[in-house]
Amino acid sequence: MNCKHVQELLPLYVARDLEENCAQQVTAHVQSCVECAGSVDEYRETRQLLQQFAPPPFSEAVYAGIRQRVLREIGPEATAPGLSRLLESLFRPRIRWAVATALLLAVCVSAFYFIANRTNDQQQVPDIRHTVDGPTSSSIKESEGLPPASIVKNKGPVQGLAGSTHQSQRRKRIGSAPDRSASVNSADTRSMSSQTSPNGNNLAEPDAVPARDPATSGKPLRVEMQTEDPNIRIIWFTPQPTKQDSPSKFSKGT
Amino acid sequence: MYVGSSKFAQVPSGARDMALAVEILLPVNALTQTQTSLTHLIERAASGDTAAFEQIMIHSQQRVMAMTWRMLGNEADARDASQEVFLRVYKYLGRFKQDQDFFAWLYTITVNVCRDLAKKRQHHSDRFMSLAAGADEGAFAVPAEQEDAEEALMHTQQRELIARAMATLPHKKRASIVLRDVEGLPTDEVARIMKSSSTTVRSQISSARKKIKIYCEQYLRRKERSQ
Repeated sequence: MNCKHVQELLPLYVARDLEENCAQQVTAHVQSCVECAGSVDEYRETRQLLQQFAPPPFSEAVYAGIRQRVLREIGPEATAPGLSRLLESLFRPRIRWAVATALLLAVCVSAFYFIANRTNDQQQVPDIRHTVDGPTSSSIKESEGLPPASIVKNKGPVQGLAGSTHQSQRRKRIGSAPDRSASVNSADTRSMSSQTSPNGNNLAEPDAVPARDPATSGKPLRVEMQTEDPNIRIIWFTPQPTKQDSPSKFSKGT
Repeated sequence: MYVGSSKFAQVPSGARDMALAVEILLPVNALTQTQTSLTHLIERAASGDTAAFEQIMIHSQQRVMAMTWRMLGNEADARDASQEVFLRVYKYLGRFKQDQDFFAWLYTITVNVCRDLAKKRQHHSDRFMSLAAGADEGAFAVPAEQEDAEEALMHTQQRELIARAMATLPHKKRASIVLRDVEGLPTDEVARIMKSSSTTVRSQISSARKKIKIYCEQYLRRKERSQ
């Protein structure tokens, strides 16, 4: 180990910051080299000076002033330690809990919509049947109250009939009544769809029940229900209701 | 041969030993006597107990003030830095882990605060130098009743010399040398405080010692020539 290398290591050697093996080599060199030994003394004196590099003694007033300023700064924050810390801990953002809550809410909302739609579908079928079987003003009004469907009478041509389960059921019912099926089949759908009710009233209203006019009672009453889905419209034909009509007579026609 | 060695050798060894004893006495005693109670105080302070936090400040104020003074070189900046250190300690006390060394954590905050303050005050280096040159009358004053006039003058000159030498060091080297040689912490502990590796800290310390030694040699050489 030459002097140049030792001189590089001396700053660490004087404070025993070198590894044991390296320190022993430096010690061996310093013992045999006067110049490097002098450098060691100089570094040691410099280090002693550093260790004496103490601040002047500060008075207690200085420390008290620092403490007071710090306490004044944190005072508003610490006046209500219990409540503020509790609130802070409660509302401290925690990513895991936030994500878990969001997922839970998403699942709940999805389940709610799924169940709600399913219930509406189940409710529509019996109500419509009821309306068809007993086409009185009160039954039409009941069906009007269903949220997903609205009753439309004779509005425009028939469109989008395919794929409607309720309509196929209704057609089966109509088909089972020979008299009615004949009247339905003989009627021009487009012309019928453009017709209004015999008295021109909207069936959606309670007073929209067509009058029991003998002249018009022979014509089938066309009732359309537009569901929320614009592609699904429920249409059925009913005989003009009479006071003596009953669900059992309906199949016989008028 | 070291140029200034003859001058420094004239300083009575008693004065140096006394100053050294005071420097070591405070941290060691504070650490051993208050370690248990300090943990309890930290828990209370973290829950918002300001009285407990004041006790923590009392325990650590001398250490923080000395460190900030050594890093910044004057009392005014040291006061501001110490205040900021304690504010940060209070703010982040909830993040302090009980298995950590509180004073190492405190030193980390202190070093960061001093760095930020030095950046904020661009004239830091000039101010350090001006104060080291004696502009601040009380900065390097030594009580007359402790030492006679000659010793006081010698002591002041030594502090002035080291202060000037420290002012030439960049922040990281100054922090490393203060923590290692002045505070007496082991190199590994310094590395943890500085959030660096031991090798890097050793390199910084070695470079800082070399620079300070060269500065002292040049300063005393100029002084001898002027005389």
